[in-house]
Amino acid sequence: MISPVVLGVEGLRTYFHTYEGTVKAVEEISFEIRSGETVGLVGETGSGKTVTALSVMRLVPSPPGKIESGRVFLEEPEEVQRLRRDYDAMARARLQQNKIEREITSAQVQQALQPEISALRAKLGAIAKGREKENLRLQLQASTSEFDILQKTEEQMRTIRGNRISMIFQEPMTALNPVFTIGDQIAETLVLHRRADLCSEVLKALELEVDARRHNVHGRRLTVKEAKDKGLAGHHMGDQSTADREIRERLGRMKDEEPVCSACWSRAPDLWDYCPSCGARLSFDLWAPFRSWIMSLEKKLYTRMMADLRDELVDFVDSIRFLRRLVRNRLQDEGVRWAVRLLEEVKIPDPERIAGQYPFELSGGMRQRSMIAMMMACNPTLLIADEPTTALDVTVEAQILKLMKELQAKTNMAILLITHDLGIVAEVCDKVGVMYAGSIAEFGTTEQVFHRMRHPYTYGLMRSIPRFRGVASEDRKRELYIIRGTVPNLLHPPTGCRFHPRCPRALAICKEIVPRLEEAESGHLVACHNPIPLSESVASEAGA
Amino acid sequence: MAVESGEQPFVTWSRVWRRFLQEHASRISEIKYTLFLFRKNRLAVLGLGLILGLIAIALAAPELAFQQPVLVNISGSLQQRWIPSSDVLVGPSWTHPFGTDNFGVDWYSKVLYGASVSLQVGILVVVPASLIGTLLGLLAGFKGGLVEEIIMRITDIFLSIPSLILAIAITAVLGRSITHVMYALIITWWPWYTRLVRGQVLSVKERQFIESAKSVGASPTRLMLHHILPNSVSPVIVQASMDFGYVILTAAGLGFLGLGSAPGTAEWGVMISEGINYLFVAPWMSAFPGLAIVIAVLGFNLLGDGLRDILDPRLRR
Amino acid sequence: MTETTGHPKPSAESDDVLLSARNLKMHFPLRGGLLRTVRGHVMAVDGVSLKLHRGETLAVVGESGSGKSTLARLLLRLLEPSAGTVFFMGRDLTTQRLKVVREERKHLQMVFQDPLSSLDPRMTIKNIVAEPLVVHPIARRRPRSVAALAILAGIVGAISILSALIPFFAPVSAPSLGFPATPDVLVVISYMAVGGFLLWSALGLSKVEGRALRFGFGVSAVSLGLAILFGLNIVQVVGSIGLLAIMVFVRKNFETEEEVTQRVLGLLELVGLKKEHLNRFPHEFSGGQRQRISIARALALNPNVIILDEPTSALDVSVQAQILNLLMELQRRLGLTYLFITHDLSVVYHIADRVAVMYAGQIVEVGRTEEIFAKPLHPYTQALISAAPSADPSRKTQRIVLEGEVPSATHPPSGCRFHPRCWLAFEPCPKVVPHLFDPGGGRRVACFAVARDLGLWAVGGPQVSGGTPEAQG
Repeated sequence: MISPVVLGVEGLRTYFHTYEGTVKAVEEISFEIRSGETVGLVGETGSGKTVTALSVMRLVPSPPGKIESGRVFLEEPEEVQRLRRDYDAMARARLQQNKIEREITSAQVQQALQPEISALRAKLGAIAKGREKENLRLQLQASTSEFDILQKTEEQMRTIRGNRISMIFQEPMTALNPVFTIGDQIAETLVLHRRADLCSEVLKALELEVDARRHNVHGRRLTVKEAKDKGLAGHHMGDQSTADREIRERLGRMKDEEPVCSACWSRAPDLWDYCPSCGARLSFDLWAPFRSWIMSLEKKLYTRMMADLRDELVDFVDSIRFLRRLVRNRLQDEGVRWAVRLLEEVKIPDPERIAGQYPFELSGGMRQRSMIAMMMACNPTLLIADEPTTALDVTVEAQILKLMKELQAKTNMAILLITHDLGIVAEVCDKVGVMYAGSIAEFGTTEQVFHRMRHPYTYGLMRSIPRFRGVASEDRKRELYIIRGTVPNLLHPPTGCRFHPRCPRALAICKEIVPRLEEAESGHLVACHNPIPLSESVASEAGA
Repeated sequence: MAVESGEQPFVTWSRVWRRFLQEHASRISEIKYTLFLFRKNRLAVLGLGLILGLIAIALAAPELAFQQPVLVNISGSLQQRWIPSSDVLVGPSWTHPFGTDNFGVDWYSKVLYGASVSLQVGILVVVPASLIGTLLGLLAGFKGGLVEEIIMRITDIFLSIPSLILAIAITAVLGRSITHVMYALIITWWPWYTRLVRGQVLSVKERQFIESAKSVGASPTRLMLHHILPNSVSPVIVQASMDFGYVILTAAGLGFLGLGSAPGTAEWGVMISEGINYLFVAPWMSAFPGLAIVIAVLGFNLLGDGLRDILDPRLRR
Repeated sequence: MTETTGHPKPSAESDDVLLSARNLKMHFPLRGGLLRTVRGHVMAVDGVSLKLHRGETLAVVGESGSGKSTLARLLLRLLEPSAGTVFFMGRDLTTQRLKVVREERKHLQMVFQDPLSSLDPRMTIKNIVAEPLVVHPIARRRPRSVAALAILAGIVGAISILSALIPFFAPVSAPSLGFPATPDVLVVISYMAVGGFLLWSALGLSKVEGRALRFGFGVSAVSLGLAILFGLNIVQVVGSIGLLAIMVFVRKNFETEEEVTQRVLGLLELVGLKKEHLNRFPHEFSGGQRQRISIARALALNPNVIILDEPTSALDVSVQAQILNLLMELQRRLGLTYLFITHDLSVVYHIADRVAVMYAGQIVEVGRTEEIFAKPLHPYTQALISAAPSADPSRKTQRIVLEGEVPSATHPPSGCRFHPRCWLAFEPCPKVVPHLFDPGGGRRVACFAVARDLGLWAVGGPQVSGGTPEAQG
């Protein structure tokens, strides 16, 4: 069974309108990513790969930049896609766009299909029955290009970003907010997108409190230092049981000033009067007589919040600032505990301590990992990684890539990996797209592109990389192959194929007509009028 | 007729000009881009317009005014005297657009002449203060250590001196004159620049091209003057252009209080203080100079703001 | 210890050591608290010794935190080492006065990593590349005194001109503000403006000193003319004539701007840039071109040794190839010696004769490139080589994935710095710091496990053959 398409990009075109002119950063990009796949987008600076990623996330800085045309479909079901293609053809015919000079936008399609859409809507309103209703719904989705994220509102995008599509950036220090701890930042994402789940966690904690109260479990809040001074767990001092050793270890890793619950020796933030892990009462609780009433209120609140985030009770609480803050704090705290679990998943040692640290206290690898944890928090279907390991050392890079693959195996998410390092792509990616000056030159599986490359640019790129495996020592110090010329200025890109001034295989036609992506072998697309014949590329690979 | 180095025996003006353009092509396009950015910022253009207007008025005051002052020599220094007339305390009219004062002097002319005084005060305070402050800030930031500590502590001391008290003190000792007010202002103004420049220098110092210059063998002096200074100077320009306005304001305030120009001189602050006594009878006496001050300060502020946006390296290109 | 012979290039293996370091240490003190007491040290470089032979390319590899960049700056004495010595062409750089060191820098140059920030954004390319020539002028006169003369001439001349022209300003001038000894306020302003400009141009903020000279010269000439025409003050006349004479005399001895420009053009050509680029600013160029500019600047004084700190790390793949080719060609043509710092092993394999591997401020392995890549001995070297990605999808071999992070520089692990992450670690590793020793074949390795496997390990410590720390190379 082929996995479903997570991201389908069609004819994306992003331009930047600057003082000196219009920079055509991305010129008609089309590709798709299926779930569980890792697709790499390689190119040099100026190839447009980062702009592509930003366009997908709709994070292109908007005064100079603008997504001119194109469509980006997120998790579009197969059936809808099929129907949509038909509708698209119909719209194109109507708009007389058969030349497919410029890809149409969803807005144009909708405009062209106005009559059909209204008819479908009317029918949908009328019919109540299952099968046909379902069918109509699909038709409506297809005709309105429902899954195109380029036409969603900013508010809708906010529910998508961080939630269904996540992005990791190159420089984790700039992507992480330096004035918040790691745990707080991850919790923020959760509070934003996973409030319902957090509510269930809070309810569980409340249950613990109720239990503890019933059994009248009291504890005290101690700092770690005090706990150590008193000897661990009072009368268990000297006991070598494994539990105690674990507890001792855990305490040893925490900072001296951190508060812990004396009943269960886990972290007990100052906010609550009751330990979130075991429910023991920790401090003098002014509201003790009212506590059960308050707790039942809280239970009601969180249950209703879990069911419907816009409940009246919730709105009421929201309107009173004091209560809103209390609720948010509780959710945030639960979020931090969840964050600790996430940090564990990304193999950060001692996650509890790390969650309380600030980004500048961590090393590059740890920061990148915590960014990954933050991005994984909401189980996205697509992870965009923009040069995630460029700022990291080789050994750390190996760790991070391994981590990403493991996470992918677990959650079956798709990864769009943007990089200029062909080595990473070869190791990690299933498919790769080679970008040059804003367009895709070649797309296919890594096997195809690396071993049977057809585009002259890919060929030049492969040959100009210095290697050390499989290179005889006499070949060292030999002059490297270079692609003559330089990357074109995107203000005035060359006519026709943008690579033609530098291409050793350029023909007259290359100056006139932009080559389109065509299938050279199954799944292997090349945009070239004069691609390298199969025999040559395979032979060179064997010899190189 | 410049002296050439002997490469070409035949020098024409057109060749010289072309060579100049060639050599400075990049700089010229930089300047063009800066002007473009400037034009885009409407408020900055407005500010510049106001200032240019002010300068024009100051330069052309004798032409535009209806009444000219007389310069009399009093014990060595030239002072301004305005000829009284019989149109005492007349409100704004065609013959007297801004009215007259209690001596019948045309207020409009006085305001015009006041512009030139204010501008001069502005320049003569801001330029020396910024030069001194920049130099000290450069030294402090570059040398670091003890030198930096000393300079910064001195700066702190001077920062705590209020300009008013100092102006009074200096006037008490040296006599009432606008020059003395300017001295006081220079003394109180330079520390701001030191602070500003020191901060910039500290950050520029860490950039890699400084290291590169060191590795080439550049001496500390060269590093300081040739590399760090040009790269630290843009906030000074912004600050100086805004300070112009504030200096004018402060000087007018001091003039209002009786320090600075002699009574009767066409200086906006002095004029406002003269008008206080007649505030309900002839409000125009205080109002128009006040308005002039507002416009001047506004102009400089807008210009400074605009410059800040333009010179911000992150917003360019 | 000399290297064994057998390398195809004879010059690289001669005993002609151009640059050597002995037991270099760089401990940055960490100050904290009110009194800025020293609370600890960052041991960036902790006992590094190496030798650089004439004509060879020595690569220093390591990850971030290994101290390689600090090492480069120590070798150039841009930083003062906490301990150890650096010898360059036989002279001890570490004990000389800074002035002398600056002279030595003529022969030892550096190319920096980030092409964007290593060029002064306010200078044109011509000035950037000419800077070494300006700082170490070939002229017989020191430019600073010349510039001072230019200022003086200019100011006197300016005052002369202005005092001649004052009558023209009078009608528009402001009422006197009571300045002592009054020239008019506008004149004062002009003094300041002209003086400022002279100062600015004379100190060469945007021009080479020659122009200041010409300006001062020109102004003096004009003022002299005016003085004669308007019959001014005799002092002014004499002053102008005198200064004029000095200017003419000095000018003859100063290397003119034209010569400098020619030199710069030659250098630009050498690195593959064009004449049109001369007057442009750094931000108008691409990364690769900027790196070429840095290289041209480094070549300006005909150095013997060039230290390159990650020159290609910030560049694209294809540009990297161009720069590497350029560097190799320059080495051939000009007989240069390179110390190449990088973390990219494929680049190392391609251009280096010898490799030194650094970890946590120490060198853990040194040797000839082919040998190290063919058979890496130190476990860190092995991990590094296996971790390097290769552009070949069919090779999905077992990468050695190291656990843990690069050690903290303030509290490095005891004994061998690598032992917490090392799979070969055994008893002595956490206790004693291993020294570099020769396992045979002209290499050097610092690892107890390797020593033990070669039978050189005994109870009392490793039997190092020729291995006291000072004689490392």
